[in-house]
Amino acid sequence: MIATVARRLGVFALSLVGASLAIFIICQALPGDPARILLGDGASAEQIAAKAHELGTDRPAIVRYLTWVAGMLRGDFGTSYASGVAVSGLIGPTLPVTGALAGFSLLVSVVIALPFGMLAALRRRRWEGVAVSAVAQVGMAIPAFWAGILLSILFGVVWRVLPPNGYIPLTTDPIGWARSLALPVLALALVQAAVLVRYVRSAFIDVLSEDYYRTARAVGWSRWGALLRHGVRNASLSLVTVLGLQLASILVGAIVIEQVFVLPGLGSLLLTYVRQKDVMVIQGVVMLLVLAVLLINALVEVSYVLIDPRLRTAER
Amino acid sequence: MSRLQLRLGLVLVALVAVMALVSVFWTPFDALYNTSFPRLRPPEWPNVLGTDRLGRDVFSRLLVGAQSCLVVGVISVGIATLLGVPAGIVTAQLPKAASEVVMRATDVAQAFPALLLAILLAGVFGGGTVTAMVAIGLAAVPQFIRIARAGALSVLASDYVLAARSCGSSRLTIARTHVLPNIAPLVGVQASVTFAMAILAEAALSYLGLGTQPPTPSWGSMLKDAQSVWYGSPLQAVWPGIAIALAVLGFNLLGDGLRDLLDPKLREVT
Repeated sequence: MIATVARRLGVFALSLVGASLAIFIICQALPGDPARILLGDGASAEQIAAKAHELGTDRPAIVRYLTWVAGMLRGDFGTSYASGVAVSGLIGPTLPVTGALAGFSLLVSVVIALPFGMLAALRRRRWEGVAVSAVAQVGMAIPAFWAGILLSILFGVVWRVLPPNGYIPLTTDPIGWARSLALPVLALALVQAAVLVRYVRSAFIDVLSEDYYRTARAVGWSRWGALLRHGVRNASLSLVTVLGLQLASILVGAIVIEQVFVLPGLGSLLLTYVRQKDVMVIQGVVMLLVLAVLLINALVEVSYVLIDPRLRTAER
Repeated sequence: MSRLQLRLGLVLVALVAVMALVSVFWTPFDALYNTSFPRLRPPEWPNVLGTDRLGRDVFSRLLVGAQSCLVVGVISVGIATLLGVPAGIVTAQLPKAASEVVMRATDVAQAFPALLLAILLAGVFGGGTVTAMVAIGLAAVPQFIRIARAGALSVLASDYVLAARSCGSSRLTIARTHVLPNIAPLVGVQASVTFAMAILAEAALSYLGLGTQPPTPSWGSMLKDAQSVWYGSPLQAVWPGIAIALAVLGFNLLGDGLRDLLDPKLREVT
């Protein structure tokens, strides 16, 4: 078990190096010298050289890459070229917003998808099961941001029960915070739930054909009882993989949803600085998002071992 | 069930294709610059879906929007297929260690979802249709490498490849005459599902202002416009969304239907 975790950690570390190199190289392709762009056309060569030295852009690429990576390991993501503000200072306040949005969306999508997916599996030849599958198929095709726009119009403008957009920090007003997050979370969760339902369904259909399920039924467990008692843990192995992928796509979906609902999250920060072409902020935020995705993948693989005791001894 | 999926998928995909094709030659009104109608008109003749905030015919813009959707889809799926399939077939023939390195690299590459890669590239090279297509295509390459490699491995292990090899066929010949035709259906399924993903990504990017640029209509940017006028004309936010959903549904159903046709064993499960 320890060997599996250690091996996985090694792969994770190597992936981080690969990803950071890729991001850094792409960002180096930005046309123009940041110092020249910042100072404008009127600047003298000496001024530009001094500014480049100040920003560190006159050093070789490999030195800049290592400085960037070493800084990130200490939690320092560098300084924004345009505003001169520390990137970590920009990122900090956005994390609770995006974190809450992504976390609650994942939770709500699981809460929706698990019962409906199980229903679709148990009743797959009846109309209920087919209806759930059909609705899920349509739900998968709906862009989360369109769902967000519609929810915002319906609940925020037509019925006026929830704010159509905007964000209230948790510390200012907990109820207002929950109300401001309700629609964005629902928009992301509904679409993700549609994807998840299909996986839950096929995972439980697998369970239904297993011997242990038949035995549980034979000794008197009800269909739902047997599924809950024996099915969930067995199905969760494949579901955890999907949940990992889901969380990654929720993080990316959050970037767009934050725009729909004007939430001051990581996505809004990224897009603001993408428009200004501020490389330090872009590469910092993208690295953080990719780090999150890679970390989730690593945790998913480690969690296999925790969920399934068979994998602790068996060689994988 | 799978026949029904396949048929419905084909109908929806054909609908989008017809919309795009018709709009090349004819739209009820000019979709880009004809602003002669009253602004934000509700659906009434001759503007069957109403007009937008500049007084342009929404139905015409919806038709032309199908072009952006298809062009981005075709080019990005094309990039992913042309790069991913040969790379996957080559990877299948590499020694185990080298193959492992490539697969780990695709793992890392998969940590860059299409939308994130597109935003990153837009930050460096500027947003636009070309950046969007390249980013969506590149982001899908790892999946094509995986599919092609897995398919190629099973084909390469078969007796007829052994026979071909013993007759002196070169690797290239085997790849062309045996591997490629046998993995083509798998690649087709992946292409269909990726097409659906590309439509969603393009819509999201255009919504963010990093995809198709105005005045060219795209369903994503039409939704962005609609959001600014939702108090006056909420229906504007409905039509482009339905168009996106139907197109994505079409390609997803097509992919599912094809997969079921290819592998009857999966019918029960998926």
